[in-house]
Amino acid sequence: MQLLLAFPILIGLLMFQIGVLSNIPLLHGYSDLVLLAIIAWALQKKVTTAWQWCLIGGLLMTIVSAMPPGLYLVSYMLIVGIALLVKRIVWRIPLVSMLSVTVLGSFLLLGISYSVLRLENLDLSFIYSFQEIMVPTTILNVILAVPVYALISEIARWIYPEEIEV
Amino acid sequence: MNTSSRNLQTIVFVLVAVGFIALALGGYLTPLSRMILSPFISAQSWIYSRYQAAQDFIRTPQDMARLQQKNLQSEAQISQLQAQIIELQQQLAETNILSALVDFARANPENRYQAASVIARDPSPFLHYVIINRGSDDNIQRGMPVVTQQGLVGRIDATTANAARVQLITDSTSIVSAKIQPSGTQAVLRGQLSGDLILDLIPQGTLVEAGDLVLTSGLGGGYPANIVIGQISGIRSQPQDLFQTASVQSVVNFNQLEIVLVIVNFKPVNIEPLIPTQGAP
Repeated sequence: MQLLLAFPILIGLLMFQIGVLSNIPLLHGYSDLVLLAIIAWALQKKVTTAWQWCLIGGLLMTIVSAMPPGLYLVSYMLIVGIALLVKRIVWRIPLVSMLSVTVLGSFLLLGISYSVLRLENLDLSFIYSFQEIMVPTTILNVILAVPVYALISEIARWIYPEEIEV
Repeated sequence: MNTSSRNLQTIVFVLVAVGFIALALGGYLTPLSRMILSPFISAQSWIYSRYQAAQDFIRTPQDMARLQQKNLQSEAQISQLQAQIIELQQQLAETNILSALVDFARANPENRYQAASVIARDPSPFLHYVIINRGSDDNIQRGMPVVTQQGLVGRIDATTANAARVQLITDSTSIVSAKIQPSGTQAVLRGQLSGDLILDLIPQGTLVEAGDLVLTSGLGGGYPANIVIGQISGIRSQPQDLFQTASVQSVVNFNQLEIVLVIVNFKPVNIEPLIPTQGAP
């Protein structure tokens, strides 16, 4: 059930991301809703399917994007690993965890993307990439992190209802 | 006696009445009638105005409710009409684009076109790709050029049954063989991370000016020849460099791509096997 739910949620977010949000850039940066959803899911208390969601999200992004295959998958796995580590350390303040993993994850994903494109002999200026793409994308992700976290928390609460002691 | 006195009274009464009528017709009674009627008319006016006020007081809530209802109905109608106007404006804009594309297709009868709508953009901010709603089911294949009525957009990078991914010429991995008009100089057009276009490998000594037209040259077999790309907007020429570079202003607005044409009868040529590699005989 939890795994099946990943498909409509992640596909819906991906469609919204590439259809709508990709037309609203900040400088040359775009927000990554799939990344935010995966981080938010990994940070939920009772969730045990974070890696599976990561796999589905990574595959969806690989299908849609022209980035080298596997880039999103590897990046998302690293980010989910960080999110699970952060959840274990600072489990009491999930929103802070969400924001910190979002910042870290955004830079990690964009850093890996930049490095891979550089390895493909593309002439990309790091300063330009940092100022025009990495920082704006991270800012957009941080702005959207709170609503995405709220949405994913609601879904998690619906799937894993609180146990009432009688 | 009684009868004669009654007749006399009647006659007197008739005479008095006729006299009054005669006086009234002659206008002699007007001041008198004004004096007598004036208080009555004032009183009547006062009573009627009070009645009107009382009637308004009783009716107002009903009127208000009716007016509010009418207002709501009008607002709903206005919203509906505004939505219709927006829809019609969108249809008009789409029709204008399609009509321009049809004109373009008629002006270039040597090519066969497949129109497609842009439905998404690549999720990576490092790449300049769009996704269109036509795929291999519509005979679209990898490498086919994509244009609008203004000029070159890019080429098909990947296809599925119902969709295709288009690499825009502004993508940093895009390379297009170009020529500059009117000089006819060959050069290479490269996309940039910022979405700008740079014309590279322009031989030193070639006269290139801002405003010169940039077209596809057809060399390399990646694109058909003579598709408009844009105009030169600035030139960078250093005496110590082997080549000049120029920035190009594209004729296509890549931020507002809605409908594009895929040239379906163009088969790209793969010249990679012809490029000599190190160690080859």
